[in-house]
Amino acid sequence: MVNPFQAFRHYAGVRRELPLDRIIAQRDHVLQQLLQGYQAFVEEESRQLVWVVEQGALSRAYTTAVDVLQDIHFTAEDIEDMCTELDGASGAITPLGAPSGLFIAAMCNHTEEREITLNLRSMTRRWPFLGYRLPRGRRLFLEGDVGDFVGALLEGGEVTVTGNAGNYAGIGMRSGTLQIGYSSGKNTGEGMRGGVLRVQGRIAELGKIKQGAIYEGNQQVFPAEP
Amino acid sequence: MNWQDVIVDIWPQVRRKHLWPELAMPLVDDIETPGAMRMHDKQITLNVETCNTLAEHLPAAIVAEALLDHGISHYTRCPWDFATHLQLYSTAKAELGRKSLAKLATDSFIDVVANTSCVKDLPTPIPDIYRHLGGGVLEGALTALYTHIWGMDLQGSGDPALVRRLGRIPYLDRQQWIPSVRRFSRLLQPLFEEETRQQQTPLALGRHSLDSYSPEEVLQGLQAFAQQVSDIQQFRDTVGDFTEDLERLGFGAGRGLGCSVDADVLYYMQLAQTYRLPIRSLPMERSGSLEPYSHIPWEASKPVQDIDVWTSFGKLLPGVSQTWVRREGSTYGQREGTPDCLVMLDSSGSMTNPREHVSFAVLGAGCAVEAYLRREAHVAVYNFSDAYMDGKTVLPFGADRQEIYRGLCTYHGGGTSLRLRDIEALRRTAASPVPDLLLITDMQITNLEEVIDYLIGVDGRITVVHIGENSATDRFRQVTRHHPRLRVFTVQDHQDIPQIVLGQVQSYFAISSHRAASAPSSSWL
Repeated sequence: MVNPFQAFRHYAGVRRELPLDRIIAQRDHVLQQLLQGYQAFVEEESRQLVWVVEQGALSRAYTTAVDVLQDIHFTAEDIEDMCTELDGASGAITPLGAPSGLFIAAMCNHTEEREITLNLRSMTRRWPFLGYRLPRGRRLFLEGDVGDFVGALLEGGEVTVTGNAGNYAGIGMRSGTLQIGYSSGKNTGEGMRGGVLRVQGRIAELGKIKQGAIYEGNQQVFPAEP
Repeated sequence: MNWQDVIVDIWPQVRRKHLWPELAMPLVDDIETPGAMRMHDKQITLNVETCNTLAEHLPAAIVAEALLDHGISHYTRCPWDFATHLQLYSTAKAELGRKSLAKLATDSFIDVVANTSCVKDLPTPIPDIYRHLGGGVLEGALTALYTHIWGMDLQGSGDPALVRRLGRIPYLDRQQWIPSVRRFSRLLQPLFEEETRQQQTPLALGRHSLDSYSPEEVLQGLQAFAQQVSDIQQFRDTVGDFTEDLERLGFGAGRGLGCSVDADVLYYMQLAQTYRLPIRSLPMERSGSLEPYSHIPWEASKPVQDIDVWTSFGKLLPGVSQTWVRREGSTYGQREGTPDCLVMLDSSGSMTNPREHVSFAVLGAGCAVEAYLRREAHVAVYNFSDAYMDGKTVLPFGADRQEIYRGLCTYHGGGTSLRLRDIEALRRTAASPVPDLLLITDMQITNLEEVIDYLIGVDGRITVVHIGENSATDRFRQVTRHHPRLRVFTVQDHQDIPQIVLGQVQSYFAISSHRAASAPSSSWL
C-alpha cells in the first residue's frame, strides 16, 4: 500500500539529535543494567528460606550486591532513579525491604562520586540499611525519613539524615559521623564501637553502646556527662 | 518598527514549518500582563515591548519566528489540550502543595517540553532568544538546562548538580509526562519558592492560563479530567484553583454577578456525560380531531348541527332535544417523544455525601437528567431526606442544567421520609400530560409502604434505582414485580449505571391485574 503522505515527506523538518536523547538513552541503559543486577541479587537472596537480620546474612547479602554491581558504571543520579524504581514496585521488580536497602547501600559505597544526595521525601518506603558500611571519604546526604539500621557498621563515612530515623540507628558503627535531623527510634547506637552519632530531636531509647559519642540535641548522652 | 508587517511576512513559512495548524494570523499589541505573548482562544498576540527588547540583539524576523514557534508549539505539542494541562497541574500541586507553586511548575514544564520539541523537530531560532531573555533565578536555571540538553551555549546560570538531574527527565516522552512533571517539580521546588517569595517577573515567555483554550476545549478537558481522577476531592482541589478563569468562561451559575463555579457540581456534570442512558420513547401526539363525547340538553342559543336526532326522538325543542359535547380524541398518533421527568433523589444520612465521595445515586440521577435534557424534555428535582421536617430541595420543571445539578448535589443527611403530597403537586405542574418518575434511593424510607402504594397507583412510567441491597429493597421488588410500568435497577458501582434503561415498561397501555399476574417477571436486575 502506498503511503498517501509520501509526497509531503520533505515538508517535515530534519529532526535533530539532541544531547537529551543521549542522556535519556544512557540513563535507560544503566537503569536496565541495575534492574537486571537487582533481579539477580533478589534471586540469590530468595534462596534463603528465611531472611534474618544478623551479621552473617548482612555480610553475605552485601557481598552479593557488590559482585552484581561490579561491571556496571553508574552515577549518583542513577542511584536515585533506582530508588524511584524500587519504590514504585511495578510487577517486574520485587522490593524486599532489608535486602533492597543493602543493595542501595552497596550502590552508594561503590559509585564514583564521593558525595551522594538521595531525595527520599517523595518515596513511600523507608529504606533500611542506608549508609551501611559507608567508608571514609564518602558523604551520604539523605533528604527525608529513613528506615531502621541507618549508618549500620559505619566505616568512617559521613551520613546525614534530614528527617527521622528508625530503630537501631548507628548499630555497630566503628567510626565516622551519623547526623539525624529529627528523632531516632529504639536501640539507637546498639553495639556502637566508635564515631559520633548526633540526634537533633529525641532519642526514643539508647541501645547497649561500647564506645563512641552520642548527642541528643546539644547534650551528650553517651558517655553521660557528669 | 512595524511588527505586524514582520508577522505577515514570516507567518506563511512558520505555518508551513508547523504543518499548517488551525490558528489565525497572530497580532502584535501592548499586553498588560507581563510576558512575551498572550494566547486567547487560538489567537496569538505578541507583546510589542518584548519584541522591541529582543530586537536590540536579534533581527526582527528572527524574534518574530522564535516567538511564534514557541506559541504554536503549545497548541501542537504541549500541553495539547486542557485535560493534559489539568493533569500536569494536578500532579504538580500534589507534589508542591500550593497553588502558586503548582502553576509556576506547570508553566515551566510546559515551556521546557514545547521548546525542546521545537528545537528537536524543526529549524527554529528559539535558542537565540533565550540568550537574551534574562529573567530571575528560575529562568537562569531553565536556560542552563537548555544549554545542557540542547547542546548549545545559552549562558544560563544554575547549579550543575541540579541541571544534571533535570537533564535526565524524558521531556519528549508524552507517556511519562506525569512522573516527569512530578520529578521536575520536586527538583525545582526551592527555586519556585524563591521566585514566589521575591515576586520576581514570571517566566519570560508568559504564563499559561485557561484563556488559551476555547470554552469547548475547556468543557472537553473537564469531562476527560473527571473521568481520570480517582475521587471528587482531587477534582475539586484542581478545578477549584481555576474558579476565576472558569467563571470568566461562563461555567458559573450564569445569572448575575457573584455566581461562583461549584467544582462538585461541575464534576458530576462532566462525569454524567460519560454514560448515555437510553430512554424508551412514548407516543405523545394526540389525534387532534374532535369526537362526540356526551349529551347535554339543547338550548336555543346552541348550534343545531350538533343535535343528536336519535336521542332527541326527532324533536327540536329546547330542554328536550339532546346535543353532542365534543372532546379531542385520545387516540395516540405515530410520532413518539420524551415526556418530562420528575427525579426524586434520596439524600438522607444513609446515602453517600456527594461532596465528599463519588455518589452513584447523584451520578445516576445526572445521567438520567442528561438523557432527558438531550431530548428537550424538562426535569424537576425533588431531593429529599426527612421531607416532613423540611429536609428537602424542590426544583420545578425546567431545563437549567446548572440549577438541576445544584439541586441534585444538595445533601441533607437526615432521616428518610417522602412527602407524597409534594410529589403529586410537583407532578401536576409538568407540561407533559403524564411525566416519567425516577426514584433513586436505598429504600430505607420511613413511609416506604405509602410510597409503594403511591407508585403503584400513579400514572406514567416509573424507574426506580436502588443503591445497595437490604430487606426493604426485597420488599419493594416483591410488591412491584408485576407492575406493568415500573422497573427496578440496582446500582452498586459505576459499571451498573449503563444498565439502566429509562422508561422501560412492559406495555404502554394499562393492563388488568389479571393479565399482569400472568405476565412473566422481567425486572432488569
